[in-house]
Amino acid sequence: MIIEKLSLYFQFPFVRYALIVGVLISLSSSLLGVTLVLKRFSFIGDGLSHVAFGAIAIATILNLSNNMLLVVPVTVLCGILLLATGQHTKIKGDAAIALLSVGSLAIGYLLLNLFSASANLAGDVCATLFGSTAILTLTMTEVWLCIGMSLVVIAVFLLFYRQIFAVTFDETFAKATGIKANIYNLLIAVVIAVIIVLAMNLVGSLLISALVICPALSAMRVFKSFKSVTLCSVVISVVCTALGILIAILAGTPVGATIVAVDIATFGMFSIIGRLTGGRL
Amino acid sequence: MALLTCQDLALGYEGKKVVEDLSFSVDPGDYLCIVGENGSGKSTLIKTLLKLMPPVKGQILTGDGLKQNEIGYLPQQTEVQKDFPASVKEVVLSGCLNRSGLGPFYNQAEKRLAFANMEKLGIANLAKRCYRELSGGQQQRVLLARALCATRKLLLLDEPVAGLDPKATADMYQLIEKINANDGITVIMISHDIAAAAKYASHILHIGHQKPLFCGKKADYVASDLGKAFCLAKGEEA
Amino acid sequence: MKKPFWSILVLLLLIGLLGGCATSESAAEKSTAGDAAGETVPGNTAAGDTVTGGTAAGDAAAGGAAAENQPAAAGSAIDLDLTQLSSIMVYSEVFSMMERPEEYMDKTIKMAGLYSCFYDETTESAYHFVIIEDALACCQQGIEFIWQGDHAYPQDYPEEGFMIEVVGALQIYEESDREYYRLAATELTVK
Repeated sequence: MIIEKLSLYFQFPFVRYALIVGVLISLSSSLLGVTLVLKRFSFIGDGLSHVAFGAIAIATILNLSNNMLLVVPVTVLCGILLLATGQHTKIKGDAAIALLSVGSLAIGYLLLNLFSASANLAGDVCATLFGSTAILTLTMTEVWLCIGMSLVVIAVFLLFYRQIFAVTFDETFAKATGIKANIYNLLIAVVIAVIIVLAMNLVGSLLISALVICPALSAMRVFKSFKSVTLCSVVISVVCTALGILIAILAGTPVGATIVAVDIATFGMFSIIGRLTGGRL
Repeated sequence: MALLTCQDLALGYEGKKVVEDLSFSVDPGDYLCIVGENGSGKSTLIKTLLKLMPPVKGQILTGDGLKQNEIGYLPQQTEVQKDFPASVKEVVLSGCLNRSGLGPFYNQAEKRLAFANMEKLGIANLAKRCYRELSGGQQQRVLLARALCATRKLLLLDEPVAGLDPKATADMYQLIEKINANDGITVIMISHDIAAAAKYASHILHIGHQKPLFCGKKADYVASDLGKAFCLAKGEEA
Repeated sequence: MKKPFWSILVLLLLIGLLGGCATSESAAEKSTAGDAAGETVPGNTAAGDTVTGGTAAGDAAAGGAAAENQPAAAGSAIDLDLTQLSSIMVYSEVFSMMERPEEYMDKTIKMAGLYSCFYDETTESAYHFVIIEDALACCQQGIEFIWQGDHAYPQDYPEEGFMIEVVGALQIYEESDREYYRLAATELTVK
């Protein structure tokens, strides 16, 4: 019965695209999860996603044909501001994020309210925040853009894997021994911003943190080396996303929330496994 | 030619001076111990030597063709590392990064170097263990092995025995002495353990409030009134 | 170990860059969704409160058979049956219809949703819609339909907000120099 339903659904091209794009996005978003958790940047995802929301609002008002063209640069810029200069400014880390995120959320909504021509404003806002069907309603341009950006993120991570490890584990040591830590922090900021924009398509802007953080946290319960944690969180993220999308289309539940629910359930499972094995893996 | 020369150095944050009038030089093979009270500017000095922060005044000259990527550094442990999932091998290998190119893998030579350094410090058997689950002494050895991978000439140590038990402390000092004597690596170490400094170092820099109190050979320091006063005070404490 | 890694990396980058630059041209090569659901005819008009005659009676008969994956009763072969899909799928498919209507042209589509009507004073005509809500019930999409045959508004139409089911083909029409899409409904059933 379920198999029949699934094979019927798979005839729809947008379901196939959603799975491919979803898997790629979750793969790339899980890569930097460990870095974000350990650098105490868990909420940066949240902050940046609100910035992206503000940018989408502006793009909507300006009637841009492709939102991403505005959203990506704006989010990247804010990511750089938050991550790369966060340590030196007068307003420290989390306060800066809170300020920026709440600010752009409010201004974005205000602008939409004042200038949007859309008949269903609440609906547009809600869809952007919770990503109920975004991944199923991508245009072909967006599909290719998402695939392209995911692959670039994956390639960058592979290329700079060791540098990212060094900068995350001990930035002072890296700097002291001649590694250009600031450049890599900048790179991490850019990549995170790109991931946030990508992940908005998958789970909507309010649920991004869960998508980025959960797989890494789950993997850290059980595995003990950076490599195994990274590999494991990639697997968790991809499996949870695929499962979440399938459950959502079968049961008719909102995609973003379903994926996050599966992620949370997995976290619970891994916590128990971690307890049982006592971290011997 | 001196490896490192400081001329009329003043250190501090945002223009506020913590120490001034620092002038000293470090020759290849030296074992310099920087001692002083908490807040006297020892850590600031080491950060400035590492070019992590600019000096307020004066300059630091490097000789002997010393490059930034030929310096090893043993920093104090950070919060992040307390729950960082990393194996000992990964941490030690990361010290090789400053001599390495791009890509996710280290080459054979770098892996051999990391392994040799782990052997040297007696932690080769821990290679696959998780860093955060080791004892304090073992963690310090891991970080020292990483520093050895990064260095070719100079090793800077920031309170290498902080928080260690007496046995681990003695082991650590012996390891550092061996590295200095056998491998010919210049060592600059921060410590507030003056007795140990007087025992192992070849040179001593004593920083007091805002000013250097003594700078020179160990023998002179021990003979000086200052050295006597401190060694005595420490002895009584113990 | 290394060589394959580098080649994969270069490949990834290339695909990534190409992908990023690609435009929507490739949209044209998509297979059509409609064929898939082609043969399914649901039995859901049994309890239906049929508003008017038309072919609705025939549909009710077919509905009585109630078997899935059976060819439809004569004359009303349905290419795309949205009533068989989960709510989120319906929403997405309707979105896809609005995004790429050319792929749905002349297909017989069956869909269910809330009835809504909009009376335009300037053209003095009524426009009828089937409203589809998404899973969060915060987004809606309306598909306009025109009921084929001789049906008077408002007498023959259901009240606004009623759940209705319509069967018809997607067509294009022009009004005030703009193109619109609508379903030419041959059947309308109130559920």
